[in-house]
Parts: sequence; C-alpha cells; structure tokens
Amino acid sequence: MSWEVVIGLEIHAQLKTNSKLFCHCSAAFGDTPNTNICPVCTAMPGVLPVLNKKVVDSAIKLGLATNCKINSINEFSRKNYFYPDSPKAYQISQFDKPICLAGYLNIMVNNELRRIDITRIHMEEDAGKLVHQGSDNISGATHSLVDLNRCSVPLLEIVSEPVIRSATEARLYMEKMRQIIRYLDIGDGNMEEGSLRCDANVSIRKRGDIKLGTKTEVKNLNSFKSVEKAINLEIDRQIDILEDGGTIIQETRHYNEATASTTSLRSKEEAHDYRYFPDPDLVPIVIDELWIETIRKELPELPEAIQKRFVNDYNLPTDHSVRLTSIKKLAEDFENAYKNRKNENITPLETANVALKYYDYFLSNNLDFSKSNHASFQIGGLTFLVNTSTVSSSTITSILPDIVNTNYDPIEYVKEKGLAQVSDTGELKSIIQDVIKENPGPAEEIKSGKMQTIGFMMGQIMQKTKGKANPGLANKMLKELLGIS
Amino acid sequence: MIHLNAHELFNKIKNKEVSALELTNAFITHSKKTNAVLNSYNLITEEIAINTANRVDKKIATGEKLEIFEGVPIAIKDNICIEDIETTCSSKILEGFKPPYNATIIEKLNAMNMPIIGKTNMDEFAMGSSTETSFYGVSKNPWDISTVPGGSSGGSAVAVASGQAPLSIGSDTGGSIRQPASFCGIVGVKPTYGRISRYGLMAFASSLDQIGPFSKTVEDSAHLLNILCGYDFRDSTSQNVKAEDFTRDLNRSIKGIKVAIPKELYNSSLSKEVKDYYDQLINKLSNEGIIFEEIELPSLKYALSTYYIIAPAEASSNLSRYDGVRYGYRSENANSLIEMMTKSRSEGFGDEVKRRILIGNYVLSSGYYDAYYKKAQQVRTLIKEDYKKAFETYDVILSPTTPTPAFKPGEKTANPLEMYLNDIMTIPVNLAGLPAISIPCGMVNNLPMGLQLTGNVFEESKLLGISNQLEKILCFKLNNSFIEGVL
Amino acid sequence: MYFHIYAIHSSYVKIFFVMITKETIKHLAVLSRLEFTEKQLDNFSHDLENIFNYAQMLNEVDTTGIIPSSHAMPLQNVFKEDRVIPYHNIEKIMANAPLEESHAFRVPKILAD
Ligand SMILES: [Mg+2]
Ligand SMILES: [Zn+2]
Repeated sequence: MSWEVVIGLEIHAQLKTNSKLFCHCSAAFGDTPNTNICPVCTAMPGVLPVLNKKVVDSAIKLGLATNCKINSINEFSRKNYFYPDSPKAYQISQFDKPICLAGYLNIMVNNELRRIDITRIHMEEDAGKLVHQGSDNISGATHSLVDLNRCSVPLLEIVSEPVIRSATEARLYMEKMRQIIRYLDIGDGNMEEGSLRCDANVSIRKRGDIKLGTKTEVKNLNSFKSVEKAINLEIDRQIDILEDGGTIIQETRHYNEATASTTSLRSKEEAHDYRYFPDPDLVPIVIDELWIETIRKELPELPEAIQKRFVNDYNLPTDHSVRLTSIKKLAEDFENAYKNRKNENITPLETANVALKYYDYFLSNNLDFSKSNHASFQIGGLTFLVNTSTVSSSTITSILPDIVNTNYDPIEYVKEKGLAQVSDTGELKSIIQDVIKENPGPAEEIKSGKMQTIGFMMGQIMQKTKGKANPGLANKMLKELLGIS
Repeated sequence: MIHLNAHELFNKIKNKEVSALELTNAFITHSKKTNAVLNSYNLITEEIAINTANRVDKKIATGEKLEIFEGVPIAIKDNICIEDIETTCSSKILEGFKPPYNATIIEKLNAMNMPIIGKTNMDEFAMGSSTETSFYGVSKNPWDISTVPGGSSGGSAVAVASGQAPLSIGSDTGGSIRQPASFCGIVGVKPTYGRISRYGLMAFASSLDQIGPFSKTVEDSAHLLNILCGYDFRDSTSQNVKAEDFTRDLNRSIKGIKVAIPKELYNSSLSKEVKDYYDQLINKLSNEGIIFEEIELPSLKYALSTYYIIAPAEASSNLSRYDGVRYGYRSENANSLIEMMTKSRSEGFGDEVKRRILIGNYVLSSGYYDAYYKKAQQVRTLIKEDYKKAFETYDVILSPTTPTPAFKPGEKTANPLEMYLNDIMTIPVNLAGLPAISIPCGMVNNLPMGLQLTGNVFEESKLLGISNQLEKILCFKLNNSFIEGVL
Repeated sequence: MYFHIYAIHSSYVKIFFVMITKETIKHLAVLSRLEFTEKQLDNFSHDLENIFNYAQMLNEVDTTGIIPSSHAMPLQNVFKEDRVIPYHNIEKIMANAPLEESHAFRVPKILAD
C-alpha cells in the first residue's frame, strides 16, 4: 500500500520584546520564579490589559516576509479554559480576525522548490510554567508549582495549511521560518529555551484519496531533530495501525525526546469548547496602508533575495549563496569583506570560501557567531593571505582558533608567528634539490612515470620547511627539477 | 453635622469651623453605630481615614489652600481595589483578599485627601438589584428597614442616605448606581462609558461597567466627577477627552429644553399608581417651560434580553480567574487540581453568580454564539442607533429610574427573571454607553422614587445642569429623622 | 450536544421554545468548573429556561447586515510602549496565595488518582 503523509504545523514564535504583551513586566527568559510579574499578568481582580504596539509591528513584519495579506481590522478574543498556568482562565488570542492571512514560504527539498502555504498568523499571549513536584512528569507528581514569569509574553502563532508531505519538509519549513524570524530580528528562534516551538498535525491517507485521514496532534517538539524524529515515529505508528486494519483515534500525543517515542495524553472527559468572544477590555486594531508601508520600508533584505543577488552579482554558485545567507550576519560579513578587499583581483568566490570556512569553525565548535564583531575584517584579511599565496588554505584552519573572538589582524598574526609560506624560488630550489639528493630512489620512480610518489616527495619538502612551502609552487618546481613537466 | 452635604462640609473644614479629623471621626462614629442595623459596610477603614484627615489638618495648619472636597469623607463600594485593604465584592470567594494595588480612582481620591471611611456592601460581584445576593447579608433601606436599598451598590447608597458618609462611590453595569439611588432618595450618576477609569474595579461585565458617584445633591456629584474622571493609560477603554468642569452648566436655565419620554420605558412596565405619579410630575415640570414629547425607541423593548445575554457572557469569563490558585478562597476538600477549582468555585460563589456564569457559558457555547451572543450584540448596535437619533432632537431623555419603589427582601428572589425586570429602565443606558443620573423626585407609598435623565455621550455637564435645576424645582429633602428612629 | 431547541410554530417570525435540560446544566457546570446538587440542577434548568424563553423575543428583530457591538463606545488602536517598568509589590501578590512554595503558587496534583 502506498501512503501519502499530510502534515500541518502550528509554530509558536516568541517575540523579542522588552516587555510583555499586555503589561510592563520584563519578557526575559529564565529568571527566578515569579519575579517578572505584576497585578496584570497574575490576573489580580480589577486589572486591565493594554496592548504592546511592538508586537503588532512584529506581526506585520512577519506577515509581509511570508507573503501574507495583512488584515486591516484586527480584534483580540478570549479563549476560555481553566488551567493554573493561565491565570485569567482565558488566553487573550486572535480568533476570527487574525492579523495575517493566506501567505506562503518556499523551501528547497532535494533541490526542488516546494511552496508551503500559510493559513494565518496571529498574536497571542504565552502561558505560565508548571513545575511538577515529586516526579519527573505530570502523572506521578504529588503537586505542582505555578511560575508566572512567562505568562503573557508575546507570541506569534503561525499555522500552515496541511500541505507538508514529509518529516523532512516539516523540518525544512520550520528552519526556514526561524531563518526569517531571525532576519527580521523579531524573535531569537531559540528552540532550547522554548522561544520557538511547534505542534504537528499528522495524518496519512491512501495515495490518490482526497479525503483527509484522522489526524493526531504531536506536541512538545523542542528541537529540529525532534520535529523530524517525532513526525516519522507518528507516521510509522499510523501506518502500522492502518495496515493492521485498525483506526486512528484523534488525540494529542506527547513526544518524549529521551525515549524517542510518542505517548497519548490522557484524553480529557470534556469536549473542548473555548467559548471565544471579542475581549471587551481591548479595542480593535485598525491597520491602514500607511502603517503597512512604513513597516515594509523597514524590512531587511530577506535571504531569498540576497541569494539571488549573490548568484547574479557575484557569480557565486547557488550552494555557496544559500550557505552564506543561512544567517544574516554571515551574508553581511561576507559582503563587507568582499567590498573592502585588499587586492583588486580578489574574487567573490575566494572571499566566500574563506567566509564559509570561518563560519563553519563557529558552528563546529558551538561558538556564538552573532558575537564575533571582527568577522568581516578577519575574513577580508584571511582572503588576502590566500589570494597572495601567503598561507595555504589549510593553514587558515589552523590559525582560526587563535584569532576568532579577538581583534587580531590575520595578516599581522601570520607575520608575527612566521607562518608565511616559502614562495622565494631561490630558497625553495635549494630545499627541493636537497630532498631529491636525499631520496634518489623515489626521484627515479617519478622520472619513470610513477606520479603517486610526488606526494611522498612533497611531504619531505613540507617537513623541511615546517609546512610553509607554497605547495603549488613547490609541486611545480619539483617537477621541473626532475625534468618531467 | 452628618446631615450636611459634601459642599457644606468642605466649607466648614476650609473655614476651620471643624477639623478634618473631627469631621471624619463624626462619620466613623455614626457609621459604626448604625452599621449594626443597616449592614451597609463590609469594613470600616478607620485607620486610613484618620491618616488622610490628619494630612488635611496638617495642610490647614501650614496655611496651604485646600482644593474642593479635601477632608470630606467618602465610602467605597467593595468591588474597588484599595491596596492592603480587604476587598471582597461581597463574595466568599474573595474572603481575605488584599489587593496589591490601588484602583486608579483610589489614587485620585488619595491625591485629593478624601478620607475613605469604609468598603460598602453590595450584591455579590454586583449581580443583583437589592444587595440580597451579598455573602454578608442584605443591607437595609434607611427609609424603611423592612425594604431593600436596591443594588448592586446598595451599601454605598445607604451610606449617603443614612448620613454615614456624605459621598460614596458605586459601580453601574445595568443600573447599579441609579436604582439604589432611587430607592434611597439620593443622587446617583453613571457617567459616559470610558469617562472614569475601570482600572481596579473588579469586573462584572467589562463593556458595561462604569464607576460613578452617590451624593445628596447634584452639585456634589458634579464636583466629585471632576475628581474621578480623566484618561487612564492603564484602561484601554478609557476615553482620552479634554478635561472639563462638570459644574459649568449647573446654573443654566432649562426653559425651552426638549425632553423625550420613550414609550417603551414609560408605558409598558409601570403600575397605575406609579404612572399617575409621574404623569403629575411631568405636568408640574411642563409648567416650568420644559417641553416634553413622547417618542418611540423601538429597540429599547429588547434591551433587557440583550443585557441578560451580554452581561452574563462577559461575566462568565471575567469570573473564571477566581479559581483558588492565586488568591481568595480555596476549598480544603480536594485532592486534585480540577476538584480544587470546582469545589473552591462551588463553595465560594453564591447562587446568583452561578446562575449568570451558566447563562454566560450557554450563550458563548459553540453552536449558540450566533443565535444569542452575536444577535444580542447586533441588537445592541440598534439600541445605540435609536438613542443617537433621539439626541439629534432632544436634550435629555426622561423616565422613572425604577418601575416601583423599594421592595421587601425575598419578594423577587424566587423568580430571577422578575428581579431582572426591575432593571428595565436603567439597562438600555449601559448598553449604549450613555451618561445618566437618578435624582430623587418624591415619594410613592412613603418610599422615595427617582427620576432618570439620560444624556448624549460626553454631555454630563448638560445632564448635571438640567438635573440641578430640576432638583431645585422638585425640592426633595432627605429626611434623616429615621436614623434616630432606627437607633 | 446536550442542547435541544424545538420549534413550536413559525408564521411571521421564528418562535422557539427553549428547553434547558439537567444534562445541559451538567455540561455547562463542567465548562464553568462548578458542581451542583440534583435540586440545584432542577432549579437552574428551570431558571435558564425561563430566561432564554423571554430572550426569544430577540428573534423578532431583523439584524441582517447589522454590525455587532462589542463595545459601548468606538475606540481603536490603543497601545502601550514596549518599556519595562518593574513591579515592586510582588510580595503583596504572593501574600495572597492560598498555598505558597518556593516563591510559587502551589496547586494540588493535576491528575486525579
Ligand atoms: Mg494558540
Ligand atoms: Zn506583568
């Protein structure tokens, strides 16, 4: 049987604001329990909400960046449900008048463009945190503690259409969303801290069927890895059930990263009826063209546009330009390094190669690239060294640990440490002649056509020069001296 | 001294005939003495009242000029938050709750150095028209203690009518200031929605609630409104309008003003006795050069139904925060979260509150929202439009404040709908957000009756001006001799 | 699911008789986190039935195309600045907690036995 997978994602992105959605408490993460609270966000009797304008601006930004239509008349509604992490016993959210509608994002899956449609984006407040006591999880707990620091921190909920066809697509879409959120600088997209979360609605159907299968909602996906893993687990589980002649129950399932499995959350006895209605404590938000245009002008250049530009203007391979735009700062650092190049003949590709090497070093060592204030300058310097054959590109890798997160000029550094390649032909010539003399056998092998032995001879040259011989030049001269060029 | 109105008392303080402390003590003493019978207070806040009075006396001693009503005591309905002072909404569920903050109007009264002498009794969460739903028992109408004072701001009305305080604060969601003012023979004002900040007023129905004053005279209310009104950034529904002096029209002539009497309020629900009384009154006023015209406001017929859908809907959500988690009453008889919440709420709320929570949840339920809640909101739009049209022609709209004078406890509790019908005159005004006032106009069956005047939005000054002139013509005097009789 | 509306007649306008059963009240009670005795269920179903039958008069009103009013007064675009103003009376909030533990509100176990 051939199955088709149908996935819709609900992404919750926490916004990077100073204060909460409806009060002046700090929206900071991770403080001591109940220290960023006030009468408003703890729902003391008599308090009233006042909307943080920056949240509306951020929502418009994301809406424009994801090709959405911005609704001109917006309204907040109350979503009524009892739970101790929701002190008003209603969440202030948007219901039938969300701020953004009908957008999409393009992602690349196996070198193919896939368009993921976005149903809506709306503004809402986060809930507080429950810490269960006496057990690792809710079921064994003796009691729970309510911390309201996170309560009423602003969120955007981004709901996709059920058009995602695989766990990998889901992950790629989520990664793309995070990239855009970070480019817009409206959220930090940090999944470990919960500032980017998602729930996945997963169902399967026979290929060719039009009717959707029964879906389950998988929650607690707090890393890109778990998004992919949990959805694949759920797909397998559903296929197993259906192929055994069973039926899927519509339910919420909780992903446990430690055991790599999903479990059913005990279905609640009551049907959900949130009794949404417009919040009478808040007034409508009317967004006119002027407001939208003002935001549009503030929008930064987005990754897709930059990629296109890098390919067109700099003739970079697509792969390079995609990698360079993975984060905004890298794209900027690359471009600045190229624009301030120290040699006219330095090419964009040379700069890009160095920039990517530089960035990879941060990634593989878990360093924070956003804090590397001298990246552009150092990328420029390193590219110059490569361009002038002062050092080999492998030498760059060995220099990086010493210079990143310092304000070292790589050119000065190489000079100080005496790392410059030996490119003096006179000096190299006498070294190579020595090597040939000391290794007559291998020399003869090369002369008789056994080219593999060149590697051995190059190794001997590098040993004598402590790795500083310009490899291209040395190779060329060796061949000349052996009379085979 | 306790029989004097606020303005007279203020002059006595200003002229150093009496110190603020002496005056405050006189009201506290009288309040304590009479509260045993009238049950108008949930709490007498002697300490903060005396501190404030002392501040005023210090000011006088240093020769500083007093602003109007400095040193004049005031009683506050028990649904308005005062920092550190138990505020209960007359509900068991808020037993022991001490707000961590002051309502905006409390900040204003504190800034004006008005001694707060107590928190007044009310219907639980302001749901009721008689104070009978209070967890702390019914208040007594000082005109006849066998009758109710009206509600929900019954305690605040009793306090002013019985000389316990010259001024008090109430809140009005469907008539909760005007109806008890009428029953107790005093002045009560519900300003335009958004005139007075709701920040710190424990919400009943957010789109209808409005704070307002009780006083013995229209002039006192006008002065008090000057203190209470104003934009508040903490309340998104607060109206950012220019400050005005609400006393400016008090002496303006009312000859030739046009007054509309809506048939829907005047004809339908009045007994012959009451109707005859008001007919006579209108005749009398016509002789003063006021032009009365009967008009039709067809949508007003539906105001009560509309109100009893919208108000409970908002209330059901507003009252969900009372879950035993962060403050107030928590049941001890629970061993799971859901049980704790359910039992705390079931043991903490009274029947009328529960009834309205049920109504509210019903009309908001999926499948019923459009038929009830949305429909009611649409009718609300029509009610607003009807009023808007009327104010194109008329200066004010007049009706009795209540269909009957004060009734006896238990008389209407058996049938909730009958209790709700008591609000039929006052409810339309809240739906439309309009300002309205009730002034005493005379007696029926030896009990006071009120005249309700409704103005166009933001036309409080005009409304108060007309009311002040009517007050002079009607010449209604509070008879305080019953206070001595009670004791 | 527990609600029933019966049309008793319809000539010019639709007039319904609303029946509120005890089951309806039980369902609403769960939504409201309330619990009732049998007698209360009887009383409340009776009260609500009366009230909703009275409110049926709204069906006489033609509201086609009428915009619903959520507010008494028209207002729009009311905002606060994105500025942190720390609240200094947190201990007064915590002091109201029926049960406090580790500077948090303590609640009974979420799942019943
Ligand atoms: Mg949501
Ligand atoms: Zn807060």
